[in-house]
Amino acid sequence: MEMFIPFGEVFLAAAVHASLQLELGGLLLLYHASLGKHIRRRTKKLVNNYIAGIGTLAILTLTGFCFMMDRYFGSALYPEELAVVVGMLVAIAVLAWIFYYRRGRSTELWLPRSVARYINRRAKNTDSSIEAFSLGVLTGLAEMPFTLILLLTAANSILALPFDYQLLAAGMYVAVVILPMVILRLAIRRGQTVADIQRWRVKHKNFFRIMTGVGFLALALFILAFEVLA
Amino acid sequence: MIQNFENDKHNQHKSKRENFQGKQKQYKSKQKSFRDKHNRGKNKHRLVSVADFQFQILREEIAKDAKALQIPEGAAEEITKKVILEAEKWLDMAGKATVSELEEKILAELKKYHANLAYVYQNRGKII
Repeated sequence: MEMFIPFGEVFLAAAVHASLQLELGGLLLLYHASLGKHIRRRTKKLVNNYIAGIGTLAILTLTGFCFMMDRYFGSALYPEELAVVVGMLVAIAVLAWIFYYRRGRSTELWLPRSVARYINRRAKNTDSSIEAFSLGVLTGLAEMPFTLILLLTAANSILALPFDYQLLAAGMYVAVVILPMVILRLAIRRGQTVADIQRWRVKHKNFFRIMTGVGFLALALFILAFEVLA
Repeated sequence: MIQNFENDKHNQHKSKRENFQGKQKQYKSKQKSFRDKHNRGKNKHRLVSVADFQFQILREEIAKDAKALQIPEGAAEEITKKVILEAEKWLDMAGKATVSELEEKILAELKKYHANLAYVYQNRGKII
């Protein structure tokens, strides 16, 4: 039970992070731009580097938060501080329901149009592995307003684990976050086109919107029940 | 003397106001050119003619989209050629049209040949 709660929190935070759509959208843009210009092997390499960029950013941010909390707070957060985190999670859940997706039959997100156009342009002009890697990092950073609190929550839970299990939990977080991108990669490899996948995303947009908000709320309730009120 | 003083003060205010309005106009015209620079090619209500619209760029974009959708090269070339020809013919007959009207026409033509290609064209810039 002692380890179930921290692992549960890490998994839930990772699942909510994975449900966000910017990184997946960026991957789809990269796929579409690259398939139109390069041979398949090159596209595969670029996509792998993009996913590596996102994973690297996640693990670095996670471990950075762990280090800072351990150094400056001495340990995991106190219940009073966690109550603030719970409040922020609830607020972001509401924001995710209202603002995350723009209106209309598309998967346009809350990002300012200039940032979205910049990412679009970068995806179209990505030719080398390092550019694909930095595109992954860029989209991860652009998603930070929604993912920062998730990474903070996961870092707090990781610190509550015994030392031997901390790396495993961090690895689990990154694995869950990159899972949708790996699934997308497999789907395209098996013959799905970018248009099919985009249609699927548009069709299930409301489901994703609801589940993201519910995920944030569930994480907030989990922390409230097992950490703040316990 | 008081009258002169008041007149001078009034003139000072007037010149300050005119300076300010002049600066406002300069700022607005700078804003407009900044906006124009960034909206170049993206203003959907801009009127275009056959000479203005860059069909070559459209040809390349459709070719890239077709390759990404794994449409055979020969078929992609035929589709592109027919769509661009129809679009040019329509625009020539219309004389001038807005960018959004032309894009609707191109979309309608693409839909006749390949639904996925039309979908990709329609959803450019709407993935994120």
